[in-house]
Amino acid sequence: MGESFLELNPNDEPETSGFGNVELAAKYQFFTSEAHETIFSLGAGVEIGGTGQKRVGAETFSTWSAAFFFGKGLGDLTENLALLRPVAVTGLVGVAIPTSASTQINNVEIERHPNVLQYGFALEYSLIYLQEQVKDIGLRAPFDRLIPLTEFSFGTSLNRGQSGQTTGTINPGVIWSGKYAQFGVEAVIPINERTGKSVGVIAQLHFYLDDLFPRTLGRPLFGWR
Amino acid sequence: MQKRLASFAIGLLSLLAAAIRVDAHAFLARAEPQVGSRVTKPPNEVRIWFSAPIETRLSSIKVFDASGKQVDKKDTHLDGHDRTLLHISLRPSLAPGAYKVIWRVTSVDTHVTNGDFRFEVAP
Repeated sequence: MGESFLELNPNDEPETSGFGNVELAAKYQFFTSEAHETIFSLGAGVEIGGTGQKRVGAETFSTWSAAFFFGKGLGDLTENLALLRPVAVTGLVGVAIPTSASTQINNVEIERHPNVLQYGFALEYSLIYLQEQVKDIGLRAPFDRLIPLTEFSFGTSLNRGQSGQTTGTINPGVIWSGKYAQFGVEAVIPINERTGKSVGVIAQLHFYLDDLFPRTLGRPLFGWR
Repeated sequence: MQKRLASFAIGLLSLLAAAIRVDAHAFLARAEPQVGSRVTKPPNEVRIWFSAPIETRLSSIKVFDASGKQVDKKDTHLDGHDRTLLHISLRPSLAPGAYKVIWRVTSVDTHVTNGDFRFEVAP
């Protein structure tokens, strides 16, 4: 379940903020190879229209999505390529299907909502993995918990007069992963004018509730002693 | 569309978060011999410091030589003064060569983590 708070500061318009639509999603990991550091998953989700605030662009209609997710670490490389073992690639291919074909005001169509093919991947080099499993190069806190990465996120419209139109961003950044929380920050660089003209920033802070509250929220449902 | 792309980007970052999350319980803080190191003197034991206290009954360290033969004494034990430190004794006078250390630990919050690393004895 996801919710986002958006603070928008568009050019030539007043600053505004508010919550986006509530998002629900489920994912099933159907293939795992620990030896080859590989996982495949299928996921489905919905952004529930009308649950967010219009002033930050929350749509009044819902959007369903389904995706295939993959992750592959290079930890199975041979010894002479050991320094590449901390490399990993994760990504997804999916489709987003809005429940409304267009937005109309007074029977005038002002915006179309095409189905969108979503695809992207991320390349990362985990200094955590390097320190723990390949070679202790002497990094100490906080640098031993860093993961430099670059994400590539794209969307291509599939219908409703916008077929083939692609938008996307390239997001270089870094994640710091500790025991109780994780912080990530990335630049968001548009790939074309259709996507945008300015560079943005995404920052995220995750708390690991199961480590913060191991005897309550983090307690296993079964097998607890 | 831009908002949806931003949402997608955040989703991808969340995907990474989930992938990275795997080692956020008791992770290896440091080891002796050091991860990926070359030592001139054969060590008598392997010591691994973890980021969280360990439940010793459900944790183990194993050490193998390049041929896959186990060279430890199967006596994984917690340090008497430091609950984040695990020891395992090695057979005397390890021969020169590469060794692989495989660890699997359960932290006191019951989460299981595992990993491996190598070191080399080169007198």
